Amino acid sequence: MILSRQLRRSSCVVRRGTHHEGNKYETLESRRCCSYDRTHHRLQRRQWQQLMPTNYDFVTPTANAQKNYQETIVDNLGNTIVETYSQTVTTVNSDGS
Amino acid sequence: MVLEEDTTGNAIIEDGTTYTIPTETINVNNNGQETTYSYVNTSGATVDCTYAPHGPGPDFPLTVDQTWTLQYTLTCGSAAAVSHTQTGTIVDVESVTVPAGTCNALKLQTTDTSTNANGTTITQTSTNWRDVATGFSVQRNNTRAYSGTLPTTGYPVSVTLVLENTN
Repeated sequence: MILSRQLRRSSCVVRRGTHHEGNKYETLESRRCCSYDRTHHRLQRRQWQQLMPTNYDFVTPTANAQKNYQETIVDNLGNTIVETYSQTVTTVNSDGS
Repeated sequence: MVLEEDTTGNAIIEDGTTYTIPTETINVNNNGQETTYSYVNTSGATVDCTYAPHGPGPDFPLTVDQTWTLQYTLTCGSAAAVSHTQTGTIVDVESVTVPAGTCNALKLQTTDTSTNANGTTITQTSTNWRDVATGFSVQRNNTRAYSGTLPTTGYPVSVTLVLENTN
C-alpha cells in the first residue's frame, strides 16, 4: 500500500509540464518534488523489502523421489573417504510433510 | 515424510578406523526437521534414534536474515541422550551449481555444539544450500572441531555433500 501511494505521488512529473509556462520557480519546485519522490521511493522500496521479505514455505515432497549424493570425508589422519548413497521419499504424511 | 537412505553398506577401514554409511530410515516433520531415524548396526540389530523436540534446522517459512537457536537432544538405543545447541542464519538466496544441475538455493550457516558420553565436545560449523523448489540439500560443507576427550581412533574433520543426480 505504501509503495503504491509513492508511485502516485510521482505524477508531479506530469503536472510540471502543464504548469511551468516559463515560470522557473514552478519548474524548480517540481524538480524538487520529483527528486524527493524518487529518493523517497527508493527508501520505501528498501523498507518494503525489509518489512516484507520473501517467505519460502515447506515444499511437500514427491513420493518415490530419489536423490543421489556423494559424500567426501577427510579425517584428522589425512585420509579422504568418498562414499555415495541414495535418498528416497518412501512415504508422504497426510499433513504434507 | 519418510526417507530411506541406501548405501552399499560396505565399510571402509582407514588407519584402523571404520567408515561406513549405514542404510537409514528417517522420519521428517513438516519443517523439514528429522524426528527419528533407525539403522541396522554391524551386529545386525536395529538401532532407533530420536530427536527431542526435533532435529536441527529452522522452522518454516524461511526468510533471508532469519536466525534461530535450537536446543535438542538425540537419543540412540539405550545410550544416554546427547544434548545439542544449534544456532543458525539464513544468509542468502543464491545460484548453486552441483553435478545434478544449477538451482536457486537458500544458504544456511549453522553451528552445532554437543558433548557426548565420552566427554568429547564437537563443534560442527556448516554451510548448507537447500533447493528453493524442493527444500532438499544440494550441497553441504561441514567442518568439525573437537575438544575435551579426543577420540582414540581417526575422526572426521570435514564432510562435504553434493547432489549428484535425481530420479
